[in-house]
Order: sequence, then structure tokens, then C-alpha cells
Amino acid sequence: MTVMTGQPTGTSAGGVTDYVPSAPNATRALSIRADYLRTNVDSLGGEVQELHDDARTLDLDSRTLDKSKKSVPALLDELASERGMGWSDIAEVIGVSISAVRKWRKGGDASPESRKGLARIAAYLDLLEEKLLVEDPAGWMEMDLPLGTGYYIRPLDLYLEGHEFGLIDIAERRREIPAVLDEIRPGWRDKRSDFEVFTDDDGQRSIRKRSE
Amino acid sequence: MAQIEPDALYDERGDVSWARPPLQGDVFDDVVLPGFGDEPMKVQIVSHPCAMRTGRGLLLPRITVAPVGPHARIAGQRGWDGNLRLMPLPGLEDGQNYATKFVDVTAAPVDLLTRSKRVASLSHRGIYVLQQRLVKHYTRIELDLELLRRQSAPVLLEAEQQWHWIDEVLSEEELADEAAITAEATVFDDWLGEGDPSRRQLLQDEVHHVDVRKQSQRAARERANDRTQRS
Repeated sequence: MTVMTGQPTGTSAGGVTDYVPSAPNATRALSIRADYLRTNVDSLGGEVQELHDDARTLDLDSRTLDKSKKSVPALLDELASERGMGWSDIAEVIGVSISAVRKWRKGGDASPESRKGLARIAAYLDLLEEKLLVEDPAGWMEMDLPLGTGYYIRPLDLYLEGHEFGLIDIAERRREIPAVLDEIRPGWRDKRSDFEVFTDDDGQRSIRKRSE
Repeated sequence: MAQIEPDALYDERGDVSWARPPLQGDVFDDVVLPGFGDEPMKVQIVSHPCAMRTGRGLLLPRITVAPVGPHARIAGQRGWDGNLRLMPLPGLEDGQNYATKFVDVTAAPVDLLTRSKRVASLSHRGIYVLQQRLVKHYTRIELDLELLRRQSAPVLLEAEQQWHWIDEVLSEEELADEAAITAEATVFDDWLGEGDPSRRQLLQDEVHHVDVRKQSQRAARERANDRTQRS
């Protein structure tokens, strides 16, 4: 090992004066500059992400506010009849029973939270269609994500768990789906099923052990 | 094993819509079950939705049910993980806890399971939880709810659309008439069987679910308007 008296780098915690790496000065300078730039880029990347999330929140909030002008029956008509969303899915998104949704359709009162939840999902589907070019957003929400055999995760499941923006990342193809899931649903890789659903001889779906 | 809170487990308690087709998980009261004495009791349908109907959507003459009785609350995950011979029904009636006893499963004549006796229905997720427990009870195999959701998707979508159809088409008076509901269910069944491939066949692929739902809602609305104009 070569022991040299080096120049301070500004990165040391201090106290170590008898050891300096053996790289030439030019290489060390390059490495330090790369460290500095990477730190800046990481920092900037974080700020950009925050800004992006803020912009998305404002956009979605604004769309939700517009949708809130509609009556509850009109929102339900938009979601169920125009979008083709399932009644059970609508109920689950709002956190109520299907029968509660049924009563709202017939003029029953919905709480302000429920009304906001309906406006939110209606706005979200608009966002998927208009900005992210998802042609059939209600259909897309209930399709299993292409994660390979044995995984059954739908965009709707992620929405129900509150991952609005992670889901937008997936729709935008900004990041690979597994990378997004690693962040928002850690442990998802361990949930691979050993079973599969198939169409049985009677035309109905059945479940069997997967063969690989 | 999955644990589920009462608000997520049930779709309706007490007053169950007559327009909703009988489904797995429905609880009926005041049923004198053959072979279980003369005392009326509560029972829960445990038949899979695919295994309780004929080809034309009508109910089979006998439906597989299990008796439901009062039970101490099954608290916490350990409570749900154990008790594999039971389906917990927390807060089923007046805040009281009940449970379905799988060891006493039997076949009940369908005439005993009338809409007027139905006192609870399960949410879709509640149905998956019941299915998970039934499979575990009979086979010791534990299936994920997501897998059960995928398997049941076409038949539960069909049931949901039938409910909506009947609700949309029939008058308030007719919605309290079991014969009128059964007749309209047949109309819906015929509509679902139209086309080649039929709409029912299309339901086997999620790609078509949104389209079939939209068509169903439109057709129900048109039929309701026609009936209104004719009357």
C-alpha cells in the first residue's frame, strides 16, 4: 500500500490523515466531480418528482371539483352506464355496500365523503383517458396487470389501496410495473399463486394447480 | 386465512333486496330444515353460484346450505385462522354474532329459501372469504382471495347485472312479487344468451365485461321505457 499525503476532498468525516487512495489526482478529481453531480441530480430528481406529484394532485383535485358539480345519480350513471364500471367495484371504491349505491340511484342521500369518492373515481377515469390515452379506463382498471403467470393484481386493487399516482406511473409507462409495485406494494413477488384459473369442460371457470 | 370486518362482509342485513338473485352466502331465517328437528333456524347457502342453477338460470330443486347458529365473536386473526369448521358471521342480527357450521351441510328444498326469508347477503369479497373457508375446510388447501375473485368474476357479474336489470325494469309493486321477479329473470337470461358467441360466453373474458355491462344497462333501460309507454 502506498501512503501519500493527499489533498482534502471535502467528503471525509475527518480524522483520517494517514491514508489516501492510490488513484492519480486527475482520476480522483473526476470521481469527486461525478459524486457531486450525481448528488445534485439525485437531489434535483427528488424535487422534480415532488413537483410532478404536486402537479398531478392539483390536476386530479381540480377535475374532482368539476365532477362534484354533478348529482350523485348523474355520477353513478356516468360510472356505470357510460364507463361500464361494475356496481360492486363502485361500491368498493366508495367503501359502501352495493345496496347503498342502489338506494342512491333511486334518490337516496349519500354522505359528502361518498359523493367526493364518486367524483374522485370519475375524475380519475377521465384523467386516464384524456391524459394517459387509456381508451377504456374502466376496463383497464379491472384487467390483471401483465406480471406473468400466478400474479393477480388489477389496477383497481392498487387504486383501492390508495396508490393513485403509482397507478398513473404504470399507465404512463414511466417505469416498469414491477419497479412501481416494489415501491408501493412491497412483498408482492412473494404472492405468486401455485394455482391458475382455466375454462373447464362445462364452459365455466375452475381452479387447478399450475403445471410448470 | 382472510379476516373481514362486518361492514365489508355483508352487502345487506335485515332488509335484502328481492331483485338480487339468490347467491352463495345468502342467509335465510325461519327455515325448518329436513333432518334438523322441527325448530325453524337460520341457514346459509354454501353452493357455488355455478352449482345452484339449471342451464336456463333457474334454481335447482335443492340447494346446499349449512345451519347458522349463535356464536361467540371470533376475535383477531388467530380467531379467523382457527375455527375452520365455521364461517363467522359477526353482527349478523341485532349486533349478535353467528357462525355457519360446515359440518352440518345439507340439501334444502329450494321452496324453503324464499326471498321473504332472506335476512342477509354477502358482498363479493365476503363470498370469496366464504369460498376460501369452504375449500380449506374440505381439502386443507388455502386459496388466495384474488384467485377466487378471478374464478367467480363472470358469474358474479351476471348476478349483478340481473339484479340491476330487475331493479330497473320492474315497478315497486312488482319488486315485491316473487313470480314477477322470476319471470323477469328469465327475460334477462334470454337476453344474455343471445348472439354467437352469446353475451354469457363473452363474460368468460374480462376484455368484454365493460361492453356487456353497458349493453345490459342500455337494454334494461329500453325495456323499462317500453313497459312504461305500454302501460
